[in-house]
Amino acid sequence: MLEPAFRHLAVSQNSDGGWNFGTGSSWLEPTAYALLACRHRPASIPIHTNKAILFLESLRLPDGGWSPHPGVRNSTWVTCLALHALHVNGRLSSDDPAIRWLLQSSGAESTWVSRLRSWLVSSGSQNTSFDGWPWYVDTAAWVAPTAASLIALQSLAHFVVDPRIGPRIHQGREFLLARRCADGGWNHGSNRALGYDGDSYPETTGMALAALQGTPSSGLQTAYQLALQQLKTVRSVEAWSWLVMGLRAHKILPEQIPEPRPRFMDPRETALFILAVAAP
Amino acid sequence: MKPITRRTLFAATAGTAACSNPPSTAEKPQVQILKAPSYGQELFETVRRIFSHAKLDLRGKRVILKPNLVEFDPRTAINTHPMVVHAVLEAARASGATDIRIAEAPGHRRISWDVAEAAGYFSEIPGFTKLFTDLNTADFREVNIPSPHSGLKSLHLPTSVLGADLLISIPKLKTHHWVGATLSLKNMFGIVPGAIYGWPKNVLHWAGIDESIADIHKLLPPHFCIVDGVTGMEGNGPIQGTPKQAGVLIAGHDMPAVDATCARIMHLNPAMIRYLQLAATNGQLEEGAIIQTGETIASVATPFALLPRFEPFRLRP
Repeated sequence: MLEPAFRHLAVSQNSDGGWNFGTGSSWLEPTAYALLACRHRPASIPIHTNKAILFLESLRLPDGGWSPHPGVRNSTWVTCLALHALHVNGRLSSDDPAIRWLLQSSGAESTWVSRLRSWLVSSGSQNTSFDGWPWYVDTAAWVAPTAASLIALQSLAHFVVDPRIGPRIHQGREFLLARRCADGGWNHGSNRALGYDGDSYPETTGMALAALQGTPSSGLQTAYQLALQQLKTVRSVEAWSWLVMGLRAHKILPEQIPEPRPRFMDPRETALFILAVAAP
Repeated sequence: MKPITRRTLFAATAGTAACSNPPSTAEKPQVQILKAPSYGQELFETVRRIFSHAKLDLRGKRVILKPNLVEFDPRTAINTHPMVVHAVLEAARASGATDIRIAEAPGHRRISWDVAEAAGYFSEIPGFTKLFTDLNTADFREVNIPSPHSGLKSLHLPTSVLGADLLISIPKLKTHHWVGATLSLKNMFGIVPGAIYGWPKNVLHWAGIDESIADIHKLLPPHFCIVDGVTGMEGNGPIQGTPKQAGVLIAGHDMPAVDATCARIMHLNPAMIRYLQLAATNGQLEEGAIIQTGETIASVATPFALLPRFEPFRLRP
């Protein structure tokens, strides 16, 4: 099951060491997920991980963060993916400046000025009490970058000695719990707007559950039920993979899992599939 | 008496300014209004008539069709109907276009294929999988914004869009809970890549939604628009509103003029929609500044329900 996926990663690696989203030039995100997946690869399949790490390092910016692509000069949420990928490949220093970058990154809506403004005009459709992570600097926090940052920070928690990590993980978890949709799952992060409830998506529900590993299950029962239901009907490999990872994180993954019905698998989806299937 | 808010006062003032300098007859934009009561086969002929009237000669051209795909909810009408996109695809082929792509960067869900499949694009558009480009992850280049209205100095936009000979915006006729209405101009948020800016493209919100819409308009290649108003959305659009049968397609080259006509059909005052004021640099929001062909606005106009905060936008006789 996994060997064809690894072969796909091997043949789709670009000459600069990175991976793309299916066509075109290399990006950090698929490269980081491929590197995370590569720790499970059989020795018989050659993938140039050193070259991939060099590509990743080439995207590091002077402010300590990472750019998503060689053509972008801003650090973004992908910094958490770079940290995670370097860490699991044994290439991260415990005082890497990107750790500080990630800890300092938070949604623009959670600054005290924004909170005060929101309180004054009573416009708070969303709970802004907790610090999540944004996709892009100086913008609001959303579910997917918060979940990815939490997963990365939790993997670093025993490697990096920094008193800010624990409180930030707590804040990120609270952010996710506050952004649950009425159906129990998660969408992109706008669970209630102008008095209307938003519906959840399978991929973000799986991602949030994966990030909430270790959270007491008592409040998550509706999320589990929803994720189990979504797993039966989901189409894309990406959504399927996140649901599997999310349910496994809470030890409620059924023994018989419906297989995904892939249309295509780009390198990022392939890597996520490997992570879902190969992880213990 | 309705309270005058700072927003409505500013909108009215700016709207007056935008409408005070109508274009000369030679520069007047044309907007076509055609009745389209359903998503049946007759749509193909209706769209062919639009192409013919606009004299779109696409021989050998690279054309991007940009529908509005956000997320899918079977209870309402969020996305451009696939039959409209199919009809535009066939008309572009018949006009000689050699390289046609259906391209979109959905703003909420990052699995674009799932959104497209749920919205019926796989079943209604033959060969859709080979025609579709996910602009969220496509190659791009950075473009400086001349005299930006927003806080943005530049944007990274897909090279496929920037290099197109013709970009056809195919939005849904919808209300929008932040800016009043989402039409051909707002649809261009969907060319901004999520792999750089995220899902949603929140950078555009923090830089000013209306201002960002006007800025993106400045960066577009040659373009045309066909608005899917067969079934639109009213109330709490662009996602949680209710379907609204309007039975019309609205088309033209000039996005502000097309959107101003759409607004009038929805009984919205275009002068109150701030991004239209910013994008209309030639006075083309004024009804008399637009050459309307096909149906009259009056014959197809139907009031769209608005959220209470947008009642001041209501077009008054």
